[in-house]
Amino acid sequence: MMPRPGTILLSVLCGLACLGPCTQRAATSRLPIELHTSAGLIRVTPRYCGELVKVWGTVSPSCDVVVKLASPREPALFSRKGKVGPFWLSVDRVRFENVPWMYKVKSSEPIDEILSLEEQIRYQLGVRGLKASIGVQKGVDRDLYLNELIMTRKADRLFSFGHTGVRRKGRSFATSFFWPSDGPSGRYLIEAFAVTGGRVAGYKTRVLEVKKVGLEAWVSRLAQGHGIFYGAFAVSLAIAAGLIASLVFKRPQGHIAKS
Amino acid sequence: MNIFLPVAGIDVNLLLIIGIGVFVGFVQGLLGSGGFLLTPLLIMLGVSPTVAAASGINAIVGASVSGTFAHLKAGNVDVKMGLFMLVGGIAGGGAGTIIVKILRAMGNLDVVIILCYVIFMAVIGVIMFVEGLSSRVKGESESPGESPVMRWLGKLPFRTHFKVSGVETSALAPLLLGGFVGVLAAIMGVGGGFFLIPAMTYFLGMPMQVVVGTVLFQMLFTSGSVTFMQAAVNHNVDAILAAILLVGTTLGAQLGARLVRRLKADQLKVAFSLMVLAMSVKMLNDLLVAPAFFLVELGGRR
Repeated sequence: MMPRPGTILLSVLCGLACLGPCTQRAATSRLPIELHTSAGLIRVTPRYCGELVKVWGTVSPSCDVVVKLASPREPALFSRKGKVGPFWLSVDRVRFENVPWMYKVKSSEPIDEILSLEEQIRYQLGVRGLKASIGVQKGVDRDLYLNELIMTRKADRLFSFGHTGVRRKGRSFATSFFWPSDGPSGRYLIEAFAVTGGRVAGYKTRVLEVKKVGLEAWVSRLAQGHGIFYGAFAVSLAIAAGLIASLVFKRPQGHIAKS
Repeated sequence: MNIFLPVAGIDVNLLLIIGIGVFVGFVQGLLGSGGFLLTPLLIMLGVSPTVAAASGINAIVGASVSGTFAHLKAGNVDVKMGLFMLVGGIAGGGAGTIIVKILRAMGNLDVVIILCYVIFMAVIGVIMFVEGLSSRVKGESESPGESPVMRWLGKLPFRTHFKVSGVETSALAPLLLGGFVGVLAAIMGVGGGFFLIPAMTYFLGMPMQVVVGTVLFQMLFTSGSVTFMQAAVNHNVDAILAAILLVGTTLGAQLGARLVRRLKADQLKVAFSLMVLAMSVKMLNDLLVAPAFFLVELGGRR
């Protein structure tokens, strides 16, 4: 976001004119905000089972704070279940555009009370901000499908819209996000917004990288990218494991294996 | 103690997976079949049906390797018969792998796998229940007699002699049996022993000892090639999951084999058949109950 010259001028003027509460500096959208995270990199190892990422920072005490965690956006393909005879089968497909795999937002006060709808949409904050940013395939009931998409992701604990969850104390704020074990690797953004007078007055972004390392990385890379080598690896590993295990738990003499 | 499974994409309790392995191995050691429980138990644990089936067949590779060697050494493998079955198995496994790919793209693979298990476990459950009650477990395999299937197989062309088994039958018979089991291996992740052992005893009239050795032999190679094809085409094999399961099944098979003489197999069979029937009913119920959401994300995300 490139600030327009007018905005810069205004912010300089405001900065000079008022050293008071941030309500008066709302228009600057340059309010300083500090943001820290407990992890910049999450390593997915065989022992990995999710991680709690702490987020904290400082901002003017009179501001509200919204913290958003989101993965890069991509198209998502869903199948629609319908009843065929007694069974529930996939009967149709629906394509969504611009869907984050994970989207979590927390704030010091309910978002609808502190942020105007235009600002929610501009910064893609909250349920309404997120909905407005997702594209739905033409010819289907947009609201119905968007709601369902959001509900499924919420059920998988990939989406959450905490009306609160950001703690304030003086200038500092703090919150945390639980990183699920099935979050795919990639670069995620953690953003903190200083909110005042129904508008975003400043924000700061941190990158959180999730990376499979060691055996995990090797196995999943091989499985996805080199199926033939992975197939050979899977078969050899099973043969080796079967042989080793049968040596360790050696069968009684004279007994023939009857797997 | 949790472990993250790289292909299944979930974290699970390590001891729980080993426990499933021990249980399945135990049942197998005790009753002679049980490998078919692997996939449904993994599904109930939260592994997606397609990964559960493909990893199950991967585990069967390891579970049949030591037995195959032992039977080869003892001369219990009809290699000629086994090779014919293997050709059928690879063809069937290839077809099954393609079916998996198509059904997965359509979004109905999970339903098909679960439905296959519902039917399959219902049949196995009923058979075991009846067998257990009529307590004819031992001495069952003597003088099979001429069945209609045997007569039909006898009319097929390409008759050939299988020396080790001491039978003469059409080469198409092992090809068809192997092909059928290959399709099942790809879709359901089962080795097929539960079907092949009675089929070869009754339909082909082979001696029990050779049947077991030959089935293990073809199972090792069929499951190996199906694992390979699934990994190459569908990327749904979790080798780590399979390796952990193997530790459990080997241990369980030992326990089962040691306890088999001390426990009453008939009563166990009845109890076990009830469990299999209950699992079948539970899975059927899951298919009939309306899903929580009418949208389900199509795979390929992990």
